[in-house]
Amino acid sequence: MNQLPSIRLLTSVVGRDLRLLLASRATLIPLVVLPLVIFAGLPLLVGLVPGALNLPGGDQQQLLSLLPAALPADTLAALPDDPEAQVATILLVSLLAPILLVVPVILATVAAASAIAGERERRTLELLLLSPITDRQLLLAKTIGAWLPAVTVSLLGALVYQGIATALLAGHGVRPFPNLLFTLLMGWVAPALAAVALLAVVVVSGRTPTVQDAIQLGGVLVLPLIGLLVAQSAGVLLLAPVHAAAGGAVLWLFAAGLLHAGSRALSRDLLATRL
Amino acid sequence: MILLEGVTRDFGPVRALTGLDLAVRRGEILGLLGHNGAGKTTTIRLIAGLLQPNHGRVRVDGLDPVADGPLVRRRLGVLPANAAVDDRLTARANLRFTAALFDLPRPGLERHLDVLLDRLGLGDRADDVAGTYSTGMRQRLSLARVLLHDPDVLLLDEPTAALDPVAARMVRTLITELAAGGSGAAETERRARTIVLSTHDLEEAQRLCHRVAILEHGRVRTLGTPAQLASAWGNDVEVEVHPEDLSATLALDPVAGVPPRRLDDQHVRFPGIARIEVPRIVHALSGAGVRVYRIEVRGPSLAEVYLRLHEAEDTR
Repeated sequence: MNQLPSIRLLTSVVGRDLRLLLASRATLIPLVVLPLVIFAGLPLLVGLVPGALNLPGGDQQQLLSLLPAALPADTLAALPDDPEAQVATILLVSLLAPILLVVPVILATVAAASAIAGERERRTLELLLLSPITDRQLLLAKTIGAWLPAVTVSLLGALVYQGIATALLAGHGVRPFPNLLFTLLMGWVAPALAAVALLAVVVVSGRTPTVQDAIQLGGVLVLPLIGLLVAQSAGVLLLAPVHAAAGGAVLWLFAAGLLHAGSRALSRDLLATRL
Repeated sequence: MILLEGVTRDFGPVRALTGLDLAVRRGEILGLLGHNGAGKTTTIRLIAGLLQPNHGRVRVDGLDPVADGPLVRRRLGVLPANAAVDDRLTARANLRFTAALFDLPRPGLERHLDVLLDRLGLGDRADDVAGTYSTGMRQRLSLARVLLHDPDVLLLDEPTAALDPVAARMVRTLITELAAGGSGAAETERRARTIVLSTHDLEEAQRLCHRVAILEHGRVRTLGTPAQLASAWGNDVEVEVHPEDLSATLALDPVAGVPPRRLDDQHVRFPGIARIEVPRIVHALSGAGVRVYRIEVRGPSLAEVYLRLHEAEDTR
């Protein structure tokens, strides 16, 4: 009886959050600038800046020795003979890919911090709490409102990245995409990672007074995930498609657990107590 | 009808409400008075289902505001102490968003918004961003949001605190109309509403409220109509006399130790005299042969009652 389903209610909260997200310079700048730097700037730097790939001989050999584990068989077979082109291929296709996952995490964190703590800062949270929306609907609406832009921008960015990488490697006769690992990372892991990051922040932001506090606390929660990504991009860990598929599944389960815990942790009573 | 029975609410180690009992009837305006921290806002949030009681029960038209939260909040219009409007949206967009939250039908909505905004003096600025509004305009927009879904029960937390005198008068008139069954905006059927009004403005409470509850440390210290409270908590009255002969009246001996004082060219007053001594004034005037056009006995205002209660609390 107290869980009246209302699509209109959900869509109105999500729609308002999205409109306000796009209208705010503070949130729009990270939504545009960060993806531009990571998805376009990074591959262009790797491919176009002369000497960017001039690794010391030992490092280059070590990197190349990791190829069989790092790359899918079809990509390996298509590798060029030129060592620099090989390194460019490895970087663009495999090692840089996990860094791209930082984008949905950061975008989701920024959007989610604004979702509850931002409402409180703007003194509009009470407006929502006084409406017929249930606690669960509120959590769901806030989650979707932050998840959608983070994932949409990340997927669009991934397409741009693939376009640039394809263009850069075309001269070496390499066609790096479609690539199963990359597709899994951006299509399966990235949305799950965004969900985990934003749910952590949303739950935490119920207990923090400001957006900045929410971002900082949420950042602490997602730090281990970022550590994993950096380890992969640094070559400490090497992901294969099966790892990405399994890791994504674990992340989705974790996100589901956070959603369940969040609907308890983010109760009206708790939020109203901190108004 | 609103019912609170033995409601206790703690915030950590602090007890905000202690066994609060209140009943507000349909069509009644109940004033909640009390110092900051007396429990007024907590009471309103408990009725709205934002907070849960630690003990006791709260009912709104028989429904539990926590278990039946969405249903209860559809019946409620709550005006928080701080105007709850989104500064980044226009007034109209703010109301459209509220309409969506309350699932109001889209046909006729724009007309309804226009009427409401005009009624609250915001028609000319309806498409301006609320962030450009004055504090009073934001408060009126917040009130428009409260009235949008035509609620049965209104919980108003200091509705005129941020308003200029003209806007405050308009809002007070609106509150009286709403309690009496007017809609405030649309041409709907007349329906009496239950109103809880939290205020620091004692004159406002005296003028608007059918009954007043004075809260103190999370309890109801006293409850009754303003007249009942004045009678129960104020023994002294002020007697104002309009005599034919001002000099003869001023020459009267003090009555119960209170000498007559000149108020203006026509009136004399006996300030702070016990109610029981009023007949002695009449007797003294009659004995001196003074003809009297008018005599008025004024009881203490709600403000005086409130201050006396406060003083009594301080001396305990």
